Amino acid sequence: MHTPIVSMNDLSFSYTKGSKILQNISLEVKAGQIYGFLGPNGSGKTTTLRLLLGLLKKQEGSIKIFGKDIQTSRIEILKEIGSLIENPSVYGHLTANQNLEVYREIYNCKKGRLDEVLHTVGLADVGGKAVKNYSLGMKQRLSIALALLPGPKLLILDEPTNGLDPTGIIELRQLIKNLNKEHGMSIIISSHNLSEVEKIVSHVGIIFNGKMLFQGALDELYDVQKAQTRVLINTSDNDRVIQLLHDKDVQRDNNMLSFAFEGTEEMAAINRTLLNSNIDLYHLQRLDPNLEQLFIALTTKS
Amino acid sequence: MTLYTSFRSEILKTKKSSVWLLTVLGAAIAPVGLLISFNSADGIQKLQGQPWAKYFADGRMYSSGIFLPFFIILLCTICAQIEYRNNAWKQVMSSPQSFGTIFFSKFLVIQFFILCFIILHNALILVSGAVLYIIEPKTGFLNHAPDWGYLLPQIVKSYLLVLAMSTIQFGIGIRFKNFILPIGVGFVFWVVTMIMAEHYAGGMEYFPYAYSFVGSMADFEKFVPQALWGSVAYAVIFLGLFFALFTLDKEKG
Repeated sequence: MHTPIVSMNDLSFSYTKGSKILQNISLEVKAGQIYGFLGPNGSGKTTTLRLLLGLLKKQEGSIKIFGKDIQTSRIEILKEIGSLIENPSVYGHLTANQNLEVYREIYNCKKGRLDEVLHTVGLADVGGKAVKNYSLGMKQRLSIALALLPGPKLLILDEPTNGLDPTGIIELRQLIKNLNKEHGMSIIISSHNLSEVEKIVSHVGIIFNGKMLFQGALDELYDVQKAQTRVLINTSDNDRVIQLLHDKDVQRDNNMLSFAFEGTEEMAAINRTLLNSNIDLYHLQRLDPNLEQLFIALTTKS
Repeated sequence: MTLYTSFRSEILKTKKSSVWLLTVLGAAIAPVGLLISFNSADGIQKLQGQPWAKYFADGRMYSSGIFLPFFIILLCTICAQIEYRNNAWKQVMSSPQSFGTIFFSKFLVIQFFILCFIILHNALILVSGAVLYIIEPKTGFLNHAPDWGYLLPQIVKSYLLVLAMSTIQFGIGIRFKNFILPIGVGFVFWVVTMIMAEHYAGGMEYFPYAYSFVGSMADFEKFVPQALWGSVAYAVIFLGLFFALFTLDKEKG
């Protein structure tokens, strides 16, 4: 459970001289983890994953997968990895079965494996249909089937929910959970949306402008998030509320007031105070920071 | 990972693509054209004596001079575009195959289709001659056997003379995402060949795109031995060069 499957240390990368896309990225994924790699578009997620797969040549730092160097043990490592990088990599003129057949012998899989993976992603009924007639979501699912083909120890999914409808996203989450639970697969899943992956990941890494801002268990991230949560209220007498809550650094924005959230019990206490003071409460809302706000908070913190 | 496994995988990618149709149509154009053009009094007259020798020579002239080079230009472009159009390079490059296996299996696929084209073209020339005999027995095709001792080396030469050109087109095709570039380069060099041929310009023996044309025309027979060596030498040099570029690329897929 505690063996590092992936460890990156002080990884820096630039496409052109002078503009570093990644700066001293250190990342560790242990066996059995579902690691959410989060960051807004253009933050360096795909570049990091491409470096991991050897699609980009490492410049500074070290990358170890299964304890081996991707540059020197590339084939050995790639036999154990299934990947989906950005948009689907499938041949439109071929059927789903043929797409998988292209890689079947390369991964040394048995014929029956094709049906297994198509069934897993829910494409068993359309395996004989040309992929050019698939929707984007179906192509994405076929790409996931392709990634699952070798029965990998490590699954790398870069923005796998792109093109999936809400039902597809829920199904994908369930699939990832099952693969992790039933097959012990370690999974790295990148996304620009925390809420999209928070239900399945056990650990999180947050990258922003090529720098790793946070890495740790999801609970640790929630602690950071909690510290940034605020309460938004609107009452019949906002001036008095500011006086009553003078110890809470209340901020005013037009007719709305906001202050730091410190727990549900305190919220109830504030509500009681307002009622006892004959102040009508028109609006009470807990504001959890979204990923962007969390980035800002983490950036400020760092 | 064996080269054979990767080659099979590459062949599978061409399934249902236009490559197979292009091979059959490209190989069939000259035999069909000959069938039509020789089905006349003038044509029959020209075939008297050694019908197969004349028929194969004319077939080689059109095929090696025009259709085979154009086929190679399109073939190399289509095969590379199968990866580019489907965003599939990154999947290929992150599969457990060495870069050498990936590169050479793709090169072998190109050579496989070129050989298919040449073999099919010659087979269809035979069929075309037989059909012409059925239409007009005076052509005498089935009264004579083709001179295989002469024809087989010619077929091998046809292949060797396009080896350099196919290697260069293959290299350009997989190196550049834009499909216009390999087609443009191939077409421009073919036009240059035509200009050189028109003026009987020297230097055709050094110009790899002219080799196939040189081998197809009796007028340029003297250049053939040098063109054969040149073609193999250019193929080895460019294959090595493009492989080095492929391997040393900082960004793959």
